[in-house]
Amino acid sequence: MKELDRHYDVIVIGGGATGAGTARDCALRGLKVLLVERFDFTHGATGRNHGLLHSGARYAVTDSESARECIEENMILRRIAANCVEDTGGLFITLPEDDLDYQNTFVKSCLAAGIQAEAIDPDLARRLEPSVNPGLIGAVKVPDGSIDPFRLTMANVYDARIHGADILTYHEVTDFIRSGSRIEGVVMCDHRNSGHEVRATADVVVNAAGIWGHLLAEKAGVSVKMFPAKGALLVFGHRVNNVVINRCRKPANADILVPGDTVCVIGTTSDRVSFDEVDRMDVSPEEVDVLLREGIKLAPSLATTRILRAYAGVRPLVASDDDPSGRSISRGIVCLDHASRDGLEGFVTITGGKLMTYRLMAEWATDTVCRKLGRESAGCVTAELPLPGSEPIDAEASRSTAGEKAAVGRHGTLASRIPSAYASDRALVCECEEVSVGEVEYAVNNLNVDNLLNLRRRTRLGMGTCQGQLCVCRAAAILEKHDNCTDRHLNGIRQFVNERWKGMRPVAWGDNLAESQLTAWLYGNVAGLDSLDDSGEMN
Amino acid sequence: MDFQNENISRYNFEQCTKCTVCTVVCPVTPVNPRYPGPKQAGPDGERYRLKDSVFFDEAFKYCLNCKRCEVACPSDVRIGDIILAARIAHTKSRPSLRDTMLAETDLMGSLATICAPVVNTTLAMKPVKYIMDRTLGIDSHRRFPKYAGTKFVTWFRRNAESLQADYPRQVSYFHGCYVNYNYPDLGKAFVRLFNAVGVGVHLLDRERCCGVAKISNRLVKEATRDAKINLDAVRKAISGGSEAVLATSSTCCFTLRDEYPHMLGLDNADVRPSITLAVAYLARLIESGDIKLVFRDDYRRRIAYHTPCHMERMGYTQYSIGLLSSIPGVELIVLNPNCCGIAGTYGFKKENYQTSQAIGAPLFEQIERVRPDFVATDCETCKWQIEMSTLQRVYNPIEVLAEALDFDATRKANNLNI
Amino acid sequence: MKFDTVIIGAGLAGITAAIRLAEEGKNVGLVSAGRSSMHFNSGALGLLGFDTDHHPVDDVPTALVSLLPDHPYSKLGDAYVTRAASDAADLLRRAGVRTVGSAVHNHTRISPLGILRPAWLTLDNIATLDSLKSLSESCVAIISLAGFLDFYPRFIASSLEKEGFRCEIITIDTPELKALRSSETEMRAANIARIMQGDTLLSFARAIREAVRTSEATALIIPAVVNFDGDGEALRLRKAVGRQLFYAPTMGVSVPGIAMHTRLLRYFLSLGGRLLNGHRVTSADFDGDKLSAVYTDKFDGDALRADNFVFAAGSFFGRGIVALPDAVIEPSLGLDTFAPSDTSQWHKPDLFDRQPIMKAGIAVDDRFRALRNGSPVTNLFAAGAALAGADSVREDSGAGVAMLTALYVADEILNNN
Repeated sequence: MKELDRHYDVIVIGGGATGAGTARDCALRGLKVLLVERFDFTHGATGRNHGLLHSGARYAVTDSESARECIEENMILRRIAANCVEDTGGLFITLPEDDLDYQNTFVKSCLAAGIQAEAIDPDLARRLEPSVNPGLIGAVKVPDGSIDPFRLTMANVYDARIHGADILTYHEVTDFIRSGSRIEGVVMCDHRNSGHEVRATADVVVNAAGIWGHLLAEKAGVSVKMFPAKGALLVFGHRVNNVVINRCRKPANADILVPGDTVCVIGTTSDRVSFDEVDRMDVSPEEVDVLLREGIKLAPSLATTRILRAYAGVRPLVASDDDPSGRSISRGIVCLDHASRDGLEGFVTITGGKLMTYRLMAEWATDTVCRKLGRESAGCVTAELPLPGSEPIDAEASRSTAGEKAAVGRHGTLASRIPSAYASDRALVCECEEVSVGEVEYAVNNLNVDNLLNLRRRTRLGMGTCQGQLCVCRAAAILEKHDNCTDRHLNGIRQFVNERWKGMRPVAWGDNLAESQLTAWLYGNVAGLDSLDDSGEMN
Repeated sequence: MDFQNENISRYNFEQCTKCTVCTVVCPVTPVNPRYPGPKQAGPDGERYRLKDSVFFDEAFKYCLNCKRCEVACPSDVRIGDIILAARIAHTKSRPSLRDTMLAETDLMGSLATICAPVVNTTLAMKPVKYIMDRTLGIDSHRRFPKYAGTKFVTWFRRNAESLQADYPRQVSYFHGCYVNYNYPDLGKAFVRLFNAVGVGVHLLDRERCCGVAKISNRLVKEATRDAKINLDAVRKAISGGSEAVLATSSTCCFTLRDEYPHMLGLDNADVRPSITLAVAYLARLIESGDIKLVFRDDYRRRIAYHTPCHMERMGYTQYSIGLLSSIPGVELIVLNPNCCGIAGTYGFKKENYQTSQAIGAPLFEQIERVRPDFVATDCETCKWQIEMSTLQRVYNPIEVLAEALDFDATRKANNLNI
Repeated sequence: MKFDTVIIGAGLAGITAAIRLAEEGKNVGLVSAGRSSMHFNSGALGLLGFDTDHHPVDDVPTALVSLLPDHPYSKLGDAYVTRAASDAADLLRRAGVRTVGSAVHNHTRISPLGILRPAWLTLDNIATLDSLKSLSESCVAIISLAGFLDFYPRFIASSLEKEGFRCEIITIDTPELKALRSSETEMRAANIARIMQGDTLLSFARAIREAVRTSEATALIIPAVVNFDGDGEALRLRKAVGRQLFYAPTMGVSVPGIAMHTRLLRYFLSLGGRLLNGHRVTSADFDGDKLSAVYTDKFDGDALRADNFVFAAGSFFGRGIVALPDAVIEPSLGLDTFAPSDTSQWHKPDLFDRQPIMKAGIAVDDRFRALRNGSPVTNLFAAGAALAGADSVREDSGAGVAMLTALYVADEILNNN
């Protein structure tokens, strides 16, 4: 058992966007912060969604409050997270089988929520986005965009650390330290150190663990009714569209196609699942078919585009407190001070919401924490203060190689810290996603990377067409040089390839199966990794 | 499951499985590290260029467009096409005066043949070469192909045209710029050979340069204009009774058949099977027993055959090899598959000269080692390059066949009395 | 175009059959639709590396007995497998591919990541655990090249150290390597090997000599980045360095694999074989129970005719067979395929587990004649990875299945006539 020396003002549980944002906000307001994550940052729902920078239009008709939150946060994120956002614009298209009258209601509701929605001629829509279904009979232009949740989360973590926060990954909260009706800290299991117990104390503990927050709350002895809703998505091999395409109808399955970095993503489905499934989300053939069938209606060329992989995330849907049956579900933000709600001191839950509103959720959670600590004088600055990397980029800065250009896209102004003086720094490790040796080194040294999966989440290494066919060995050798853990990284290669296979498996036919056979042969047979045992989940 | 069964990617670059075999055969990568290589410049880069054209790299101009990557690719990715299309779509600067001059083979040829002796002497003069080197960027090491005094077309109209209609079979000949302006002898050999087996030869109604140089120098508008004229002429020839339109240049043939649809977006599917190489046409007729070649008893030659890159890309190599080795007195050595390095106008450019020669070096060394009587190849620019870089003369297989042919016996074997 | 035999596919199976037939004076057309998986071979060939329970195989004949009846080896018969395996090694030797190893006892190769694996034949200049153990001293120096990302000296050293070797890793650089390194993507084994000739090779040898001057190592291991097309550079380097020198495989496209491909192909061409490079077979004419002609994407209507045909177009990677979500098809000739009927069981969660779909392939009769509409095409034989019944990736039987079935079908064709 290890007891951390430092006593914290606040411990934030959860390394997704909300937790990272909360840790940053707390740190910026001068609190002593510990951020803990059971595996790696963005491991949960943050790393498994569309990457859509909602304009809010999707909710305008059904949930004006969410719509309003979205458009406000949309504008804020364009300012503070420029490096994570791409201003693609969005279209809501009406197809012949849809009700064109809905368009009027839709535009009116958008305008009422403060969303600049403009009905445009279908011809103009076809010109704006040539991949769009040419049979559309109506189109509305909205300020949608795309946002990279990995970069967004890491920028928050990075800034939290700059402002004094301590960070623990691979530390899973297994219990709470309590004294009477007060939570005084957490008991953690250190997955990287044979499950050793680590304890940390704080005045307030924030539960920002997404769907897993339901279980944490139970451990703390309070009840927050959440319902896991599975959303499946498909990633295509390249960008078919450069403008977000939505269906102009009541939100339904697979009606958003988002261009993100080098790929585009269609999603989602929405199905209630049980809690014992949330840690192993598989995509079924039926889900693949629904996604493809509906996706083709948005952009017909998806029918003949290579599907790179399928994945699914879990949204935490929260039942309203006044409806214990759980039938009345809110997608809005839920911030609970369990002292007033349940008589449990020192414990706050922040949940509900969505990636778009992570910052607002963090603000609410931090406001609650500050109120509890009596530190209300420190105001929230996260709506104005740009995240690291998102400062304006000097357009003149010469970037010659593909790797350097791609790195600016990924790290914004921080890309200037990526070593590139020597040819050996500029050599590409991942050729599909243009990740250089320098970028890998930078990630290892600055972005909490100690295995290949961390590296993928920070850099896109292994996320391209070949899903890690050659880059993984190269990257593993670089990681090994840093810590000399030869066997761990050899196993890591195997686990990485298998993690990629998980997403390829639901779509393993045609080019993907040819690719998988080559990968299995290269890694399993030629390199011999199939005789290692796949022990130890590395996450 | 219907939708999944249908999901086969039609985006050619997505069929890449990242096996990197293309980089193994690229002639440029080992000699010019500035070139990002076919995989990176082709399918890898294409994904990024779809996102943002900033990922285009001017260094793609070092691609030879040899298409060896495409032949090697186990997944049928048209890597060379992807790279060339990217150069056409994304290069910001206009093609330079030099590139335009090198690409305008018709215009330059027409002007030059009028006063061939002067032009040939001038182009060979050191001060002129120096000036071309310094002002235009045409490498001074290069020897320009000599211009002929009389164009092939002129010779044909004067000496051969009136006799052609009497032969039992009829074809049209796409002679190309090189035969017309620089090397009418090949065209003459073609006519003699085909006449000897009972095939009458016609010129196309109009013939423009195939456009390979214009396409690779990004003069797409001009190339498309010429290509449309050529395709119209081909269609007219076929509907007018020609069995086929034949080229003696592998690159002309390749351009008409494959670059037109792939690079210029011109649909030639109706006539593509009718456009072929003279050797392919001959080989097919010989195999079907429709024609016979009889060779001289006294013809003894040791010939080294070099496979031009576009010949390989078309898959036609076996036609030339088969025909040459069917000559009883020929000892045929098939050279290892190496690019000669010239790639049309590529090697003329000052910035490419060294790369060009380094690429060809293994080929030149092998030729010198083999010591043939001469080299045979189907491409005129390979011929220039090999003749400039080795001590060997280079002939087109059609010339070799015509040279080895026993004309009287052949005419007799084909029942010709004309 | 007419041939005695047309072979569809120029991987290890296709070339082996082509060589065997050309050696007997047959006029063979070899159709190659792009380079084969031989390019990734690490310089070692597997006959049967792992049994059905994925235990490493030492004694091959014993392990053969336990294979399922649908396995190509079971169809060939155990005695044939052992006999043909030594014929295969002889064929390689005739083509200039010198190997060590036996068809009865596997030896131990060292993978590019240092993992020790059973092997049948290994190129004679590639380091194996057996060759290293035969050294008088157990101290080796592993030479790595500055900036070369596809060679893993630390993984190899870690593995050898567990076997009792002392390992020293020495990184070297030369001006020529530095020049190649200025490319972000092209400092790869094959490109290094393409410049490793003449003065560049000597400069490399000098750098190695200099770097190991004070080293106690009696043997050197260097990445296999020499000998691109089999012209003796490896030997020249060994002489110039002056110490016992072994090559170790790299990841990705492999120089020993390319060299093997090149030598086999050149041997075939030297026998008068004819290569149709870059042709993909698209359709065929059948005449009763015979295949009379195949057509390719390059020859318009010009058919490839032959008395016999061999289908050796490979598995999924070679595109000999194609997987749809619920079926496996052979797209060019419409041949019958075998694939496990329960599609939900095609793929296992662990990619390195036995993947039932990997046993899919062309269905053949007991003489390896391909089936079409349920009956054999009497002059069309199938060989290599295209065949159903072997999970050659997991068994490490790819090279053996390729060469042995190729030799078998070549003999069938020779005996047929």
